[in-house]
Amino acid sequence: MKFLKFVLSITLLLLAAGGVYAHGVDEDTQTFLSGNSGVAFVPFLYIGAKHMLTGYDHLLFLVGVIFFLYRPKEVLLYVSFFTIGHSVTLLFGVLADMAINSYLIDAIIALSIVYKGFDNLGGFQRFFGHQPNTKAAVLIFGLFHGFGLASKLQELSFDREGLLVNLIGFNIGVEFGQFIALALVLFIISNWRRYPSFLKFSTLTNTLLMAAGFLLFGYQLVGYFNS
Amino acid sequence: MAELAHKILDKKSIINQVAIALLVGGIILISAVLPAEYGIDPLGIGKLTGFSKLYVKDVKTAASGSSQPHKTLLLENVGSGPEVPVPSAVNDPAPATQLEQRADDISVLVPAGKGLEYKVNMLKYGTLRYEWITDSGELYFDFHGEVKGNSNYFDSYTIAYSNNMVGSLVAPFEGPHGWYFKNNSVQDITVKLRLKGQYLLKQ
Repeated sequence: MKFLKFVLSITLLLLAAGGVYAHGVDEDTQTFLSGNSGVAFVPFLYIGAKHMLTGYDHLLFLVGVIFFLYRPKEVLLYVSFFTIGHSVTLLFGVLADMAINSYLIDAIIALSIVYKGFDNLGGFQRFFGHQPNTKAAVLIFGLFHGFGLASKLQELSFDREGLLVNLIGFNIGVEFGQFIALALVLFIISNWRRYPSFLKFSTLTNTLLMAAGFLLFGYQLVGYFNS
Repeated sequence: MAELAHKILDKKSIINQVAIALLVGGIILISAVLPAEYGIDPLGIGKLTGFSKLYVKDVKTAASGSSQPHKTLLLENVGSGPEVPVPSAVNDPAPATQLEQRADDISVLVPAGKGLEYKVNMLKYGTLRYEWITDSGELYFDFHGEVKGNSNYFDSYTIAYSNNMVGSLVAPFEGPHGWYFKNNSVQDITVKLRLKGQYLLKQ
């Protein structure tokens, strides 16, 4: 019965994440971005938050990272490192007009999901004797994510006027979205942890994470060679 | 970071799990995602399951969507150009009585990749209100008038890309007035026209 409840909440979360876009910005948003001129702090805030909540690759990575983290302090640390990472490259990327192919960035992000699934299964401990520092990994993932955001925003060629304010709005929006996504994932996983099924299905969950990571990796890579 | 204490798998199981993950991810990629997203179907599974159909649909909407870049329209595109002399009939006086007021609903099929004209005959200073909308996608159009008895000269009132247009016209001279529609997409487009004013349908 308890397990059923859990499955139900997972399904609800998946439904809530319906209509997701991997790192994309959907068409309506795109119309807004390309038509916008000047300062638009709040709209950019919203776009940032929406981006985080509808990006399935990011949500999957979040599930992987949070899976075995249970202290609030640790979770907070994770958020901080991720924030530092993506803020640096988002601001730097857009202001320095640096664009990296978003397929490649998304492929790397997909690999980070595989990495975390593998790590959760104990792969690094078994094969390399030690686990890579999760903080460093999250920071590096954040850096790549920021580049992904920067390239996506640049593709839209919006106005340079008010760019910095809009960028900061977008960045804070990403934080908001991140926080909401985190709260949801944390809620579900910490509830699940109280049931024996958590450890029973932890291998399956992490294998599925890896499978999703491999799938997304192939998808982005083919997209890259196809474009 | 401190993690929840949990058992970790032995080497063999980890290799197994990675293999399973690769297999599952790979199968979904080849059988569903690639056929649906890119139309790539190496094993024909996409065709068998119907995932490939998603891709074809995608291309169609992209072709008829407004996201395609259009050729830039210039002032030089307006009318028949400076080398065509303006016929003197342009300066003829307006008739004492206009054509009778009428209204029509008309469907015009513009085949994929083709262009065609739809016009009505009007007298000088006759009035027309119009509305048209396509069933899907955009057309290039040139809303223009020709002087009666002279098919070389024409003047453009509006040239644009759209799926929908409304407006009114006072004919500046006697002759056929209407639209040249060009369908640049890969599927046929039907234009539904509504006309109201002083004109005669062309036979």
